[in-house]
Amino acid sequence: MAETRGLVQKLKWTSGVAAVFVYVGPTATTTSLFFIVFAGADAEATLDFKRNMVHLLEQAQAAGYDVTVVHDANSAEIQQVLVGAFDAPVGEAIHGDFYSVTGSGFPQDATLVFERGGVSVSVTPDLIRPHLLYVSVLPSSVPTGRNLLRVTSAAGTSAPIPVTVSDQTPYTIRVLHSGAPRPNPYTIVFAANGAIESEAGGSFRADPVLQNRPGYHAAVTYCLQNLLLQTEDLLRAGNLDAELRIVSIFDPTLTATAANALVHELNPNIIETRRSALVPFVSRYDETADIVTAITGSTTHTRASAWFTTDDAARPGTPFTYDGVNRTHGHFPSIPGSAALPVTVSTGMTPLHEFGHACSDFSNGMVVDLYVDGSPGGFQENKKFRATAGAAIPANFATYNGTTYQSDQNRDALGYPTTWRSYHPAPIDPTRPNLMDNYWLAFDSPLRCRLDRLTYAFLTDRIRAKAFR
Amino acid sequence: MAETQGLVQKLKVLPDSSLAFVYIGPTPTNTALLFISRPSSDSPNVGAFKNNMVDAMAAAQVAHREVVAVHGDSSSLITDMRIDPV
Repeated sequence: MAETRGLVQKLKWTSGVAAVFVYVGPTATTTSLFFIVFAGADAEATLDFKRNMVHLLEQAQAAGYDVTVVHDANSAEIQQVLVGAFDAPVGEAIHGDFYSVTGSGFPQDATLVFERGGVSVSVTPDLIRPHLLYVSVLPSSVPTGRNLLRVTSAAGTSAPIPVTVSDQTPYTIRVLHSGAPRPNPYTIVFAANGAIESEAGGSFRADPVLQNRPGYHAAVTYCLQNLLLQTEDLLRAGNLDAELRIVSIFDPTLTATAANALVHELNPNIIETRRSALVPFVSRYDETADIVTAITGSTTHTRASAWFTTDDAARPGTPFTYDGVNRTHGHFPSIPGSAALPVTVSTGMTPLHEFGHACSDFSNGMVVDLYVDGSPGGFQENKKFRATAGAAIPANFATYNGTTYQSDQNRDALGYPTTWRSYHPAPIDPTRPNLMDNYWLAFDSPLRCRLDRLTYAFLTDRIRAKAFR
Repeated sequence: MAETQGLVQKLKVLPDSSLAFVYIGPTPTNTALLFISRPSSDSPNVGAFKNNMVDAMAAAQVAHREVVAVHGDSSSLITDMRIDPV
């Protein structure tokens, strides 16, 4: 069989021979002629699949996509049609909305170049990963209508991708990265919170974030940069993030009801998620989340917080041992992990710190704050307690899956207060605070803080158990 | 039943085999290969339904819209599909 690839320049239906003629080539005047015959001897199913081929060619022609037609070496009769295998925009290109392009091997200097009618507009992605170019807000300077989109870098320029740019209303549900091609990919949902439950509880008011779409986009972008680009590579190592599904929900029609309230205010200024609302909320948008990050515009309660995941113990999991005790990284949550973040989030490691809490589990290992001495009770993966304050810290912190991890004798660069009983696992970077500790006290930049070695291994295993379930 | 969700990265139609191969995933190099098949035993209405799914895959592909393909837990044969709202 031979293959010819090119643009569908012309389609022509001719009833006398019950055939569709297909002109494929780089320009309207440089084409090869092929045909699809609807033969009287064809089975009904064959005829219908030939109709599918013609429909696919119509779609490709209208969209400006390359096609590959497969034919015998000595015949122009099309046997198969193939469309695809190029860098892929995710959803429509809409002014003011998020925009993503997926592919492979994107270099760090990649730029999106939109071209229409001789006008060329370059857009610098806000996040670049080898598989993903992410733009926080598609600028209105990109011409509306049919554009050719190229990815350019010092390494070269990609083949053009035809995209239609519009200034219609941005999507309510915007897939930023569609996730591993398997059932139930690990899914992180960012949601603009619809309503805020007051401190006293039971009363709800509209969340101002719904009037601040630009602020919401900036917050989501900061979160993604925090999760995927900083020194701590929990989600980036081994290109794990290429397996993750990342979705944004911004629904400006939400009203101030309990069902739309993903957050609750706590005295004096903490904002926490309402765990019971999470699953019903994301389900309304056809999503199933492992992690929900609610972005709120509360102006009085701006201190972020997180709640651990509740794994579904009735569903499969990956077993592990911790200090000789058999436990499980559950593959599915019954209640997703969650974090509430202010729309103003723009500094520090808050998104990844809260993610560290949220992706751990209530029963099989909570990853807790290390900047306080207290305990929430239950099994904490990253904190233990001495019998008395100031007592010697054991050399070894814990044995996880057969590997022994040392204790942090010095609380990295901070030092344990003399009144503390708690102690921590040894950090990856002993010169800076643990990411779950007070990273604001880093001597240079909080953005360089990392986890401890034990928590890094624990969370990596835990996320991978879910991502490859 | 299982659901695989993602962009239609590649679509291949083979009339002589009454088959369409659908490559679904986040990137062109990270896809699951699923297929729509219309055996000769299918009734006309079932067959027309399956061919309509192929058309829907083509429309979703050029619109850069995600699809949700429904298939058996250990099968790549697409039995149902959805295109959810955005």
